[in-house]
Amino acid sequence: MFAMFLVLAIFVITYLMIITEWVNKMTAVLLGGFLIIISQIMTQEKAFSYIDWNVIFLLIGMMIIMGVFKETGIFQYIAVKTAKLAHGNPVLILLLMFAVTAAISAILDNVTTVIIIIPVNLLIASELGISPVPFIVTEVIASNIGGTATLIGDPPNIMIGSANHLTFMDFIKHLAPIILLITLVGIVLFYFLFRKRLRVSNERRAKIMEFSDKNLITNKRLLIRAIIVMSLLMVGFVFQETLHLSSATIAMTAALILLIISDRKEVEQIVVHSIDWVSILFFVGLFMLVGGLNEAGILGKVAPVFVKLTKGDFKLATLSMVWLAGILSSVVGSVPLVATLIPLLKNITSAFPTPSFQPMWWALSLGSCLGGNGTMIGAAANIVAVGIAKKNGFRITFWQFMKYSGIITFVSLLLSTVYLYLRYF
Amino acid sequence: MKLISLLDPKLIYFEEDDLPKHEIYRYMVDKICKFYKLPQCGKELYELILKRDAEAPTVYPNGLDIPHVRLDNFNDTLICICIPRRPITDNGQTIRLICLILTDKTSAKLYLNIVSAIVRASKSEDFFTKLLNQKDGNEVYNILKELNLAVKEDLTVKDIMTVEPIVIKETATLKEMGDLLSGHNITNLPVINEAGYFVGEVNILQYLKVGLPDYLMMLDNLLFLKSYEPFETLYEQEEKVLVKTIMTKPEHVLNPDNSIIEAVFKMLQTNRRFFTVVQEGKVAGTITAMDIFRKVVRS
Repeated sequence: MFAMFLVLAIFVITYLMIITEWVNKMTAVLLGGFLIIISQIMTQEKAFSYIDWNVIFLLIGMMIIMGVFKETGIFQYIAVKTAKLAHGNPVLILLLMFAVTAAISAILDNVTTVIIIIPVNLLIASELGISPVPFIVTEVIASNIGGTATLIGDPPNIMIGSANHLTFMDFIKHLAPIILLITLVGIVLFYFLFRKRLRVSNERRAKIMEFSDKNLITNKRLLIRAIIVMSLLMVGFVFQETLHLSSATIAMTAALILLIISDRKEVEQIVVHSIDWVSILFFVGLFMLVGGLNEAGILGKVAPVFVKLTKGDFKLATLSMVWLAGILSSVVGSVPLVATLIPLLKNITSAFPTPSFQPMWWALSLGSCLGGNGTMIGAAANIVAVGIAKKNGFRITFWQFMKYSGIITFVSLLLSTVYLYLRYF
Repeated sequence: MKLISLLDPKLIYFEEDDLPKHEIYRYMVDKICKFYKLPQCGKELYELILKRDAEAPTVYPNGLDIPHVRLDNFNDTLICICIPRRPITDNGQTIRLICLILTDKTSAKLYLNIVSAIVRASKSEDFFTKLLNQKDGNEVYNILKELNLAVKEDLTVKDIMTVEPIVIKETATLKEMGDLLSGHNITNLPVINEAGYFVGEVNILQYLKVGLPDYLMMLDNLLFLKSYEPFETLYEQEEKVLVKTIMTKPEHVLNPDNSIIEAVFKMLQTNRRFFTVVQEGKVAGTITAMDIFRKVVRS
């Protein structure tokens, strides 16, 4: 009993640190994990066994591949090309950027997408002489939405997929349709929201058309190689089931091949700079911490409460998971939430008389990824984007963010609920 | 290098009797050969000294006699010092101190530095008085140690730095900063506060950066941007932005007593070509890589 309280205390304090950021997130979770080991509740060996190496290596593999892609200038090319395609029309730019960001985010993690897209948009807004805030907020939202569509688009999906042996194609089949719909609805929604507000002179528009798209691809040779490897990666993912391979193996193989055929001098550069080791260690710590929670028997105690609250009704449980995960992830952040909910839900699979538990995982994914849009601090991408804006002299307040994001979050969670209901029940 | 490091107390002594100069030389040779094994010794060495003495006078006006012999295959420097208790007279010149220096044929530079160190020290009358107050060679050795005579002054930062450099107050505007940079054709400035203390540095890149918004720095490249006019912002901001908002407080500054090699080391380590030289919190000077190149390497 004492052990249980101790672990719970460590867990709660660690999560408070994550939310308030009093202590660096990575440091907090790792310390939490090792404190549980020190308190003899689980052995180090046991704690390490909770680390999902499939998640760790899938993240590393994708980070390497995207690190090489970034070197080529392709993403900046796409962003500039998009602005020119819209003929400098701000509303059109905003909507096209929304679609492009969602698409990039489906293969790239959200934070990276935001770091690439937002600076270009700050430049565009400055050239157009309008406030960049609508661009920033809508792109963050698009990035969170787009990331939900695939296994590799958002870390919660990587964790959910890995824990339940769901393949890349499973995510495409089950999540991509609803995400496509939400993206379209988002575009329509933002069209009505902004069509009257963003007006600029022809002279300003002409400035955007002055952007030259000739030299944007900085390394054509590397780009061709990266695209070939990326295609191979996609083929690997599509035939994952036939190949009997885990996602991490496919991604790491592709990443290592790409490292070998890209400039050899840059290998260390990429491994040091493109792999976000702080995030990787954050995941490691999180797995250990949640492992401790499981070992102490806390998850086993909480899970039946969830079953009881939903009266053992799987449909009700699944649909309410969308909203539960949505609301909670905008408070604790989607990654820590999903890391905790996965083992919790695994505890109760047998409590529901249902042929397939899978819809619950889709509900968790949709809820946690889309819920991140709820508040300014709901997802890492939001925090990063607001930070970039602030550094450039544009303060986005909590409520200003919510004014735009609130409605789309509500609509997207609602559409998800309806989708799950219609498709699986 | 310190003079004392080259001396051997065994080769320093007082001559209590009134001997002629040549007799003293002979005695010095005996003393040296007693302790050291030289390629030429005894009578041979003595004759070399006399030969050298005949070629050119070795006595300085203030009573210093510095005979000097270069030996073949010697590879060392030996200094033997004799202090006559009472000054002796030779060819109408008074001799108060004899300093025999034996060197190799190649080490001319060190020899000259030793001579100049001794000559420098002997310029004060105090020097002789002090020496004569001692009882024996060991005491003279200790006195010379206290005097801390340097054979060659090592160059330090203060020897080559720009003293009283152009500085700027932290409350100055960018406009004033720009005027200083272009007026004096410089790229870096130490920044001081109202009380005159060093608070930071500004350079021309920090000045230009004001014209470039932060988001541009986050892009991979600006090859697509042809007509952007970043300096519009700069012109607007020039009168408003203060130096203290763009300056940096450098982690590394130099001290006037730092050696040149330390300065070069710090420049390479931090990849900066400009350093403020700070003493007791105030700007003592500035030093650049070009100063070192011009005044040391190519001097």
